[in-house]
Amino acid sequence: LPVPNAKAYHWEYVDLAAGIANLGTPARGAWFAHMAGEAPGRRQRGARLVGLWGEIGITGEWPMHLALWEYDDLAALARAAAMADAEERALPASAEDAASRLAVQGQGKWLRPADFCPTLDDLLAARVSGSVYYHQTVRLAPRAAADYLRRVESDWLPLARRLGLQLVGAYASGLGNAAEAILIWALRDFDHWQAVERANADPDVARWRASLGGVARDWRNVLLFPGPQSPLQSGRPP
Amino acid sequence: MSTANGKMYLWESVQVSEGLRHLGPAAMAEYQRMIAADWAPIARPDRGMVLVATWSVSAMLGPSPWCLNLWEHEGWDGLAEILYAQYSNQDQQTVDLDKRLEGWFARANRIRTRVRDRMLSPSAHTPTLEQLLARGTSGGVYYHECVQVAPGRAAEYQQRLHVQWQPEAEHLGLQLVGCYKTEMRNDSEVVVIWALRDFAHWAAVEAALGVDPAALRWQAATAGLVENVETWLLTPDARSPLQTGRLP
Repeated sequence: LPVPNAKAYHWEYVDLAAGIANLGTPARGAWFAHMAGEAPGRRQRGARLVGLWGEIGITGEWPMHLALWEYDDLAALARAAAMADAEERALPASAEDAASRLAVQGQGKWLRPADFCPTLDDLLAARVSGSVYYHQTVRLAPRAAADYLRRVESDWLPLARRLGLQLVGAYASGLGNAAEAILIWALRDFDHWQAVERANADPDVARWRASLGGVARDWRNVLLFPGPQSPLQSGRPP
Repeated sequence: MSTANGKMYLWESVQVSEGLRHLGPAAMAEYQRMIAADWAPIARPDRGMVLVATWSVSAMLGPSPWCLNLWEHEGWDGLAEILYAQYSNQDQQTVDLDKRLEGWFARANRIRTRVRDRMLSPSAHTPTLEQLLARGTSGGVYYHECVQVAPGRAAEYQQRLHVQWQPEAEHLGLQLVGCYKTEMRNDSEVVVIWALRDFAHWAAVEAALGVDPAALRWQAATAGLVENVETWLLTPDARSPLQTGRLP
């Protein structure tokens, strides 16, 4: 039997609105490069970069960006948060922060992986990669995250594989009342994406969606464009 | 009308940035210094508003760059007093009747873009700041829960929290800072703040909430009452009264 994924993930969602005023479209590339440059330092704090992505504007919001980091467990993630807090509080008042020049605001979450969620090593070994990624944020009934993820594994994963979707991650959002799940999938390209969207009319897919009544209250799907420095693009561990 | 512990609380969340420019962690530290060291010592004697704490939201575990200030007031009268101070001037060309504060506001407004506030009333068993200090309530990090409950049932949630959950939470090492109802709404939101020892303690609590029998019982007991919970992890500024153990 596969070993359940016991890692913890940091979901770092960043608004590069400064790019509107100062940097234009290259802000996306600048942020990818900046975050890739940060990866070795964060590695020393226990974080492994899983992926860097930019949200594709016509499916969501521009200029929102996402970095996903993997830690050995929640205690490791907590140690990293403590170190980051201590370092920030020790900065002199005049300190400039490179990330702050690119990003206006952000939102952090810790994600608890489903047992069947692949680790970064699993993903690299299986060569999971896409030229575009599907990011789903699913709002659930209170405390329904574990039930929902079990249903994903048993009912949706086989169908998703049939549609060519490769699972990057399946997580319950930590903090709060276990009422949110996040799924990330790799897709081949935009033609693949439109085929997946059209498959909503497939009877099996429609049955899956109908089965979620009372569990999933709403979901928001966006497409993500990967940064070339992402391990999932290079195929190499960070 | 007096509140349970006689106080009212101003929950003041602040986006520390200059418009579209994120100023970085140093600006957060400067803003919190202005709150705790410059404004709080004046605010208490002049306005009767007493700083409970100024925290920043941990960027890895919540929105950034935001800080949260919690102020204690002498009931509704105290809240009305600060409104008179800021809104008696009809032309609003100055932000406060006290001209000495103009410099403070001018500096603060250069490094803050947005403020979102709530007025909170305490539950029957929420300690005042003086009681918190006397008990030595303090943490290296704080757990901030914003609980959406079914309309009209905030007081029920508060009462049940004190009876059913607080004793169990204390076994996990959580210290209650306060349990507050958000006013000016339909009694559908409760804010709960707990002190924890440090990030490692948080990680242990976070893990326990998914498996601890008492925690699971509490979650099951509030099914149908709780509609959503948004939780942030807060880190305190060292000058906060909950950290120094002294009133400002």
